[in-house]
Amino acid sequence: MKALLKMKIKETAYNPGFYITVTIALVLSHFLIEGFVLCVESSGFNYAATPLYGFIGRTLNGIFGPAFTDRVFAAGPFLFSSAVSFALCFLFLSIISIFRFCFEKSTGVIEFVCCGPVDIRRYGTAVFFRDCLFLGISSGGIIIYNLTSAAAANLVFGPGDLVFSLILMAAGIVFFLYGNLLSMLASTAASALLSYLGVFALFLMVLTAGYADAAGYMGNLFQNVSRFLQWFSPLFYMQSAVKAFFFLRPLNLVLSFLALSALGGGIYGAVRMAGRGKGRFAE
Amino acid sequence: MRKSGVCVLFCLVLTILPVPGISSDVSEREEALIYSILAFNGRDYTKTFCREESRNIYLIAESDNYVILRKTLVYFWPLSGKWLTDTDILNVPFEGILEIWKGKKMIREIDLTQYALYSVEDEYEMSWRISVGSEAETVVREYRDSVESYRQALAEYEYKKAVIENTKREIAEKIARAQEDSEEAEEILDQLNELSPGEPPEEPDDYVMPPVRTVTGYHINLPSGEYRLRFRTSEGLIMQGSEKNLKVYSAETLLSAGFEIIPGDKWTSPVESNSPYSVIYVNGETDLYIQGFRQTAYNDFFHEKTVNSSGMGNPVLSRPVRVQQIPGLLLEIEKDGSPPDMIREQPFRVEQTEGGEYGYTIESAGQEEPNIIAFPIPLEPGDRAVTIRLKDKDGRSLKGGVRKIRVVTPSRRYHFLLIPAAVPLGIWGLVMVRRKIKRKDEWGLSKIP
Repeated sequence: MKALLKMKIKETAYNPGFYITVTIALVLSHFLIEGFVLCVESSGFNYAATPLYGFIGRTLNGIFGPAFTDRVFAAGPFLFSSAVSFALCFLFLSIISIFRFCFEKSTGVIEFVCCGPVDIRRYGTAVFFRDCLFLGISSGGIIIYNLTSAAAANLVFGPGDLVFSLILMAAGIVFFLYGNLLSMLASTAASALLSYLGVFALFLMVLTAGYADAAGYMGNLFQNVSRFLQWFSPLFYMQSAVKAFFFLRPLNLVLSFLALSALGGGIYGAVRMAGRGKGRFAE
Repeated sequence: MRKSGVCVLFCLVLTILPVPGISSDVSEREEALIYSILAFNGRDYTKTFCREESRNIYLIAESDNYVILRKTLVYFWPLSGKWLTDTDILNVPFEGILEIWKGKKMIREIDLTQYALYSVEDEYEMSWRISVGSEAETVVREYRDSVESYRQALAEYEYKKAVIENTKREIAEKIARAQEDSEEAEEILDQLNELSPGEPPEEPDDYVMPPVRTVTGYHINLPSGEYRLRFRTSEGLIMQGSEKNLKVYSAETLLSAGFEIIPGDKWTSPVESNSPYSVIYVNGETDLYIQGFRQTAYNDFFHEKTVNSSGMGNPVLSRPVRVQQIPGLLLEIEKDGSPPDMIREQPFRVEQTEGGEYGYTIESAGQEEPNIIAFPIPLEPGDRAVTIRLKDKDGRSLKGGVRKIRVVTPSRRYHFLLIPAAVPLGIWGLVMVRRKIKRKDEWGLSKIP
């Protein structure tokens, strides 16, 4: 497994894709931080002051409401810029992982040439650890960049921003496990990718279902289904962790992390079960 | 080519077709059975209504709220994106009994009651009050009496003034006639000076918004929980469409301190800082005036539904609501590097700048009536970070009463931060170079002469 993990790490480290993605993420982060600075007036931050933040503010207001927008920018631009940069790196890593997993699963022989016959479960674990490592590296890069920007522009990058980055990472890791599971279950790369994006979209819908004051039978049904599905969604635990953080409830924050870990453990178990009997790649 | 042209045309038609449907016209007024609500919003009262289509009414627990069922016209006003009522054309309030149910048990039967809503000026700001039943009638009557006596006093004053004006005219004529006899003229002038209508009567100013009349409604004050309400007519029949779910909710957090930041150059646009982890970013171009207030937080979705039944809030977040400015506070200011300084709140007056500049200045009120009572925070060009702490009169810190102020200079000079953003590409370059060297070593190419 070690050899496989090393190979997987090299595979990503020698490719320009990861570096380009992180650079794009940091450039996006830069424009968001600079835009925030340009929006600071004598009375405080006013997102309507620049077209970029005007658009962002209106969009967030429209989807999540003004209370959400106020919270996001209350301590500075870093919650939002971290989320955007992180999402880009996370999507890149998970998409290439799923794609390569399914591709190599069907080809198989590539692994055989490099490091002998490989058990699909071990392969999945190696891919998962590789993803976690590169997610950690990219998150670290984003945090360092944000700290540099904060120092240069006299902004505050506080413990809250750091905790938020950790919450994002934890949710991202659980999503990687979902990607792993779907890669094992799906027969082709396209179907794995589509089902992964579908699961992601479903969890997003479940998250936003609570916002709607839906009426009638369908509304009730959708809300009840959402209430059930939310327990499987990393976004739900991420949301409760963020809420616990906003309300300064450390116990709830720890509980949210524990619940997210439990969900991750459950999916990992499912991954192991899904991999059982799937045989070796080279077979 | 022809095919693609047809496709483009088809797409265009598809795009244009729905356009006439998207119109910003005011919707037609529809007759509807609604609940008019006077809801307590945590600080004061909001008039709203629950549409016939809405299933739920949201109210704050342990507070006085008033509802009444009425038939009226409703319409959608696209400019504000809100549903409004038109009670001028149709307004039929129903009288009967309002039943409140919890589960399968009716817990309350509420009769129609009279109330009066008014506001008075406190030391710092306006506060709202409600009087119910006979007290409401008394408050309204007393207000009307005071207005009536003011009108009478004003009429008497005006009459007196008119009489004096008349007398003055007569005296002026007398003076003109007695000009030759200077002694008589002096006497008449003395008489003229003695004539005065006295001080004009003072307008009653006990109220900011006076209790002009009593209003009828069903008084609801319930502990938090889920209820149902329905309306029973005087004939004992349940009114169709009157049944609603009643969601009564409490504050999500205990009272904590919030800050209102009034910039010296925009005193009409103050900004609130509600969360202890929030940072106050300012550009440092003007001094700040800061007020400390008590705040509480409600679920954003529930609160939005309380103040606007067709509005949408975020059920995951809480909404801070300013309750009242806290009297007699102290503020500790700590500028970076310097020892903390404790200041008291001061009264200020906003004075309009003379001339065509249309500006104003904030000055110490002295003995005059103040417009704002706040802590002044002078910002100097070198200031980068200021920490403020609210303390009560005994010097104890208030919960949630600490904020950081950062002075940020808005400029595009941060472009140099794009350089560290390119570091990952640099790392990739290094990785590639190292890999090339390693390959050369592995294959022994470097040893080839």
